[in-house]
Amino acid sequence: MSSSASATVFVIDDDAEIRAAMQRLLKTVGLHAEAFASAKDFLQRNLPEGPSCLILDIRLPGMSGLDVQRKLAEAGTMIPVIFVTAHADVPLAVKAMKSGAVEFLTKPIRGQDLVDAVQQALARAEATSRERSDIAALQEQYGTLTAREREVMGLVVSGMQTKNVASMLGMSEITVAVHRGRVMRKMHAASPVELGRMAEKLNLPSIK
Amino acid sequence: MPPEWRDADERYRQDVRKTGRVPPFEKEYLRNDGSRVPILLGAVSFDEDQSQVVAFVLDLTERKQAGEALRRTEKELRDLVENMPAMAGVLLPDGSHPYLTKQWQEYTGLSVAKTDLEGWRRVVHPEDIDLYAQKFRAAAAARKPFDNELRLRRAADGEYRWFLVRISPLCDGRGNIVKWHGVMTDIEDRKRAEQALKRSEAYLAEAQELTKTGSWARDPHSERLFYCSDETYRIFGLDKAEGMPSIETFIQRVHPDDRAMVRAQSLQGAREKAERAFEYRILLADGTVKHVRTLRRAVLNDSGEVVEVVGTTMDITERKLAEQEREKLRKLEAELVHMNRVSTMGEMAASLAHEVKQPISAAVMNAEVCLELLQRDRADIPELSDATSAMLRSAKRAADIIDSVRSLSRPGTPKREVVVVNDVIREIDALLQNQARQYSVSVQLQLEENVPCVVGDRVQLQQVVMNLMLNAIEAMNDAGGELVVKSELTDGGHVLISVSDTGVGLPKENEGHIFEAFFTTKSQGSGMGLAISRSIVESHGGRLWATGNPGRGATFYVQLPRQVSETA
Repeated sequence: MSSSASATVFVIDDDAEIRAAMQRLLKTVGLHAEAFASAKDFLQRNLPEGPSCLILDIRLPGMSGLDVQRKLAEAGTMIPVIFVTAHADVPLAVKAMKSGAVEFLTKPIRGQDLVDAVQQALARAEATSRERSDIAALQEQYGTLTAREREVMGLVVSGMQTKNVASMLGMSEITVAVHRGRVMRKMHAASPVELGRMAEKLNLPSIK
Repeated sequence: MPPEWRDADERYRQDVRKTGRVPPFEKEYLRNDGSRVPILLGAVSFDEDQSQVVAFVLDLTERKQAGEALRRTEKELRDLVENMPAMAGVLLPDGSHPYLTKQWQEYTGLSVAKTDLEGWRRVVHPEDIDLYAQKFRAAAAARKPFDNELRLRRAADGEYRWFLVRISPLCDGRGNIVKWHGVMTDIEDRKRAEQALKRSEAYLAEAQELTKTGSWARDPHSERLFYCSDETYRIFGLDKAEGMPSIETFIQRVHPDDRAMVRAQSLQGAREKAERAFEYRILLADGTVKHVRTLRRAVLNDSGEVVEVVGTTMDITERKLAEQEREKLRKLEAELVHMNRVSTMGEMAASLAHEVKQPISAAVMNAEVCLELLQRDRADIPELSDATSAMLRSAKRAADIIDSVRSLSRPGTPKREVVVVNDVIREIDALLQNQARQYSVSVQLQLEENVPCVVGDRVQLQQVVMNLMLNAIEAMNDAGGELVVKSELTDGGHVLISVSDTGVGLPKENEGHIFEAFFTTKSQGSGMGLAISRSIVESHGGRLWATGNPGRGATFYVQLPRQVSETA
């Protein structure tokens, strides 16, 4: 993956040997890893611009892995998490996956499994960040729409016919068509279907 | 003729002329050497004019000497009787005393007249009269002598003293008692010595019975015993009435398994001059087994030969049984201590497995790094070297953990060795890493480097630290927390280990009971951990106690005496 070069893998494990081994292992596949002995140390660090993921021992002294994950979510930090544990604890694994973990690995971890999980996590991070920039662009475009245009867009993406929109807004069908054309142009939407997807991404309130 | 006899001689001469006879009389002649010769002289005339006189002269020297001797003998006897340290007297059947020595009269203050006719009774102790009278009647009937001990009152101070009275009858030809001879000897001092001896013997016998210690003395050259105390008979179940037992009799009472040893000791005893003690068992006829301890010592004469062997034999059955009981208890305690370790390890099995997995996991990752690096065209030697060293460290750590687990699981009698306290804490900390992580407990070690070593059983001390740390972790299992283990050297020169947590703290009402067996506040707990820990610490001469922390949690302290240098 091309973007892997600038990616960062964070490792939190209280065991120095494990930290060192993980860093060494990730280095062999060209990944830069930063390791922390405790969650507290990690939380004090600002996350970098590029994609990153977190390898987290689910059992940590002081603060458990799940606590760390929750804390990150609360802070709005969208970092994919790979949990590792010394033993396969099914309820814990389920809990971790439900809260959005990428992977749940059991020690001793096969190198390939770890690398695969990291790649997956980084891809997810990248997708997330791409999605985010897409949404930002859409939001910008959406910001250029007039109030009337937003009304028309809202009704159009809800799948309403032009004449129904016209009667609902108390305007002519032609006027509606003009507004719709302006919306499509401003939003760079090729089709009403694409406009609908954009509305979804923007999480616009449905009008139905 | 001596001059004093001249007048008498003249008188006799006239008598003869007048009466014609001289009745025999004694006089003396002088020898030529001047010594005197006693003679008996008599004369008679046969005619009217007394012209013819027949006279006889008998030399009385021999007779005189015999009489003199008799008188002297009589005096000697009287002197002897009057001066001997005894009282004597003669009693006639009519109750009169023709003779009583002056000692009697002086001692009793009774004259002969006052002694006569039962008068003597008033100086005899009232308690002693009946027996005396009874013996006297019997002796009179049998015409035999008798003796009797009785108390007589001394006139001087009114004190009664013991006398030995010996009375013998004297009979005429027909067997009638003519008189009695009696001698009374003062035996007060002997009697007192006898009583003192009897008392001291009684005390000794009492002491022997109380201590179950018999004493004896034997001939070193034969099977013969010189002396055997009552307690010795009792211990060996022998009957005193059967007479002095031989050495062999004793040996027959010895337990068959110990007999050869005792026989050898007995033989050796004849030659050996050193004091010796040995223990063996006795098997009595009823099957009772007794444990005894014999202590013997040779008695030497001036030339250093063994002339007698004296010894004691002590019944130590109770002590032996108590010892066996103690030994049993000690074993039971060791088992309990071991059981506590094993059950703790059992409860921690899952956690210990993680503990081993941790270094194995690191080693596996490093191995994969090595493989990856080796597959490259140009091997990164420094990186390979780092990864391999890390692998070795991890493998050693895994092995150490397994060793710790194994030594904690192994049973064994407590050892006394030099133990480095900080190592004990570090090893247990290594074992409990995962346990702490599981409950989100962070462990902090604050070990002073100058903490001296202690002497004791390493595994047991590890067990104490493990119990305390596990308790601390469990006290924090609700919300996690911080566990601090410290070691230090106190001002008093003791080694102090403290384990403090930020958990639930000590139970308020039962603070005093936490060290008691079966006391537990946990849902799953034997309640033995602290009781066993305290017993271990105390067996190391130390103390274990707990205090509540000002904020949250509790601190447990283990104080141990530092190792005292052997050469000091």
